[in-house]
Amino acid sequence: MIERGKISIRQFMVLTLLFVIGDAIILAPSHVIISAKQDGWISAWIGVGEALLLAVMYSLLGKRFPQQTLVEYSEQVWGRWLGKGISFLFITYIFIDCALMTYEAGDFLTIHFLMGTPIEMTISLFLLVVVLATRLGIETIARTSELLYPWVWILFLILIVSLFPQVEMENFQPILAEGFSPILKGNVYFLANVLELVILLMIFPYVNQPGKARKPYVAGMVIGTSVLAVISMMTIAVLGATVASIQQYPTYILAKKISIGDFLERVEAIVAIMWLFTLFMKISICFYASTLGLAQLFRLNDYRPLTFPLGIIAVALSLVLIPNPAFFNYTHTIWFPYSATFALLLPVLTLVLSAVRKRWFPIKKGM
Amino acid sequence: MLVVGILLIVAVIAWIDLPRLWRKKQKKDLSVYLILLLIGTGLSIAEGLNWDIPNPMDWLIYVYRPVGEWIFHQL
Repeated sequence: MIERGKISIRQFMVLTLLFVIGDAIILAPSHVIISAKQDGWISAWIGVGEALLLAVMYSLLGKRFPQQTLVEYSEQVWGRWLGKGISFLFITYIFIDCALMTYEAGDFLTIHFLMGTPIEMTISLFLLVVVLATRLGIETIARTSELLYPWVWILFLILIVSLFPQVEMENFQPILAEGFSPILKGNVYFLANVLELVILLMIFPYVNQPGKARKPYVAGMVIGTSVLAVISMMTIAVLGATVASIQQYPTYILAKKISIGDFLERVEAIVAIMWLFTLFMKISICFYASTLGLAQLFRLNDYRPLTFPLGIIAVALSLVLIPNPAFFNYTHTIWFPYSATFALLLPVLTLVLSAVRKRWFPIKKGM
Repeated sequence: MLVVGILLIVAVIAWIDLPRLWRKKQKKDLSVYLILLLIGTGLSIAEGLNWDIPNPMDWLIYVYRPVGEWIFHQL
């Protein structure tokens, strides 16, 4: 095994939770609101139910191969070359996701905080930290997540509680004005974020009690998506669907609305800090998963030397993939089918095929 | 200037990992490392000089847009 690190069940739960919140905390509200308008919160809560089902399915796959990552067992299930091909496409999916999120981080920082700083600089510095985290291994990433975890909760609670005076229930009306169709469309956008959780199948074998990764995984996913649903609800309740749908980052505008007794003002940085924490965790896990996957694909001795070259590629790729911010919004339309290929089609087919193989072509022990 | 800067960064990066890989004589590790480093350098220079690089996202959009439109049409 290339990675010898082990993480505890609690750490895995924290990793999952921060991974779900990830970049979605800032994107999910705008995604559900753009198509479902004031009913966006319904889309989000449906998404929580779907997250539960997805988590159960992924953990079935994780349970079937408790010692291996997806890249390792797809070679067994699909045969050597087909398996390698599928793994390679899966790794590119993780890596593209990583590059897109890096762009988000750079874009957000240059728009709201470091105006005038070239985006190349913010992206490079952000990725440098990610590369260093990846070189230190999964244990360090997991411990970092435990360190950031309470802060994410504290900032989240501050955000929600201090927004309560601004809630206007009228913003939710009319409910179901255009039927269920827009809600389902919003739900598809929301789901595209949740589907990325398939990437954690690369971390499954490193939980120190194999076979017990299911509970923390399901819990992390459901709690994480609930956080997103609550934020979506708050965005609608405070900003209203019309204002929220024209914003690139509505959650950030939401925090700007906080104003308590002319005293507590301009605390939007709490959203930025919370988002940078969760985004850092998500990018780190994605970068780690793609580096480890690549090393396992080529059966290398160590994944660590690959981190710096892949880091350079990620910086350049994020700028190549997204030539301008308008194009970035455009990519959201294809993100669901692209994610679904690897997060729905691939796990289902792998599960079915591995069951068929086990039934009719038993695999030798130890493989 | 930009090219020199990128090459300098690549040199620093190579200095960190390359000697150890070279000494261990792990041919496969070394070749994957060098190929990735080469791709990264080329991509950075091409992007820095604003060359026209084919965008993988365009390929994804070409493949997945019909699927996406079909899904949204069904809902």
